[in-house]
Amino acid sequence: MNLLGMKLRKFLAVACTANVALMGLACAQSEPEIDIGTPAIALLRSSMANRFSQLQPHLQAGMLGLTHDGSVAFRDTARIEKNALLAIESLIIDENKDRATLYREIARANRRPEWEADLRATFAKKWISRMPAGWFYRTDKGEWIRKE
Amino acid sequence: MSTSQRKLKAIRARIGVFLVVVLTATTGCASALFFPAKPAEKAADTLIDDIWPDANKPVPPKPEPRKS
Repeated sequence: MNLLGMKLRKFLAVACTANVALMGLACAQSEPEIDIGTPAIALLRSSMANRFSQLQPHLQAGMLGLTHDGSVAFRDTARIEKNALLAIESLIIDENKDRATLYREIARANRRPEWEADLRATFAKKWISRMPAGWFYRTDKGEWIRKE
Repeated sequence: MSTSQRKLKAIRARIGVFLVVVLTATTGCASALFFPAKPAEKAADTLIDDIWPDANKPVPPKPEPRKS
């Protein structure tokens, strides 16, 4: 191998390494923002915020809890009157419908429908980490845990 | 420099350019495919702030409904 060939090879190796490093750096710094500013998301946000005042007392009382998959569920129905049970069940159904639509809508707004499951998982963790102490959450094994 | 050396140099330069293009393209594609976990957490925080503005404020206890 002549001297020029070796120099060229070294140059290419250094250039490729630098390129990979710079690309990695650029990708790490330019993680895309998640768009949550669409009218559909604003509508869901408002609908869920309005419903929260109705859900909150039941969540605080431990009758309802959050689940590992980003939904709301009954935890303890023993202390709920039959008439109230139906009303609360309707609240849960509406809330879970909104939550599912929210995860799907964010994925769609960002033109990444395949992100829906990841978004659901991210929200599920956040709902649980942000909920106040005393509320309950259900693990993937079906076990209810009271947040300390 | 002989003709064969010049040819060799030209071939190597082409290979180099090809590698750079391929690496750039694959890195770009990979970054577009990965789920951006941090921005997603930030988005979740923003939305939860709006949906649960006073989640940590205690709600006055309601009298428990009696079973009929």
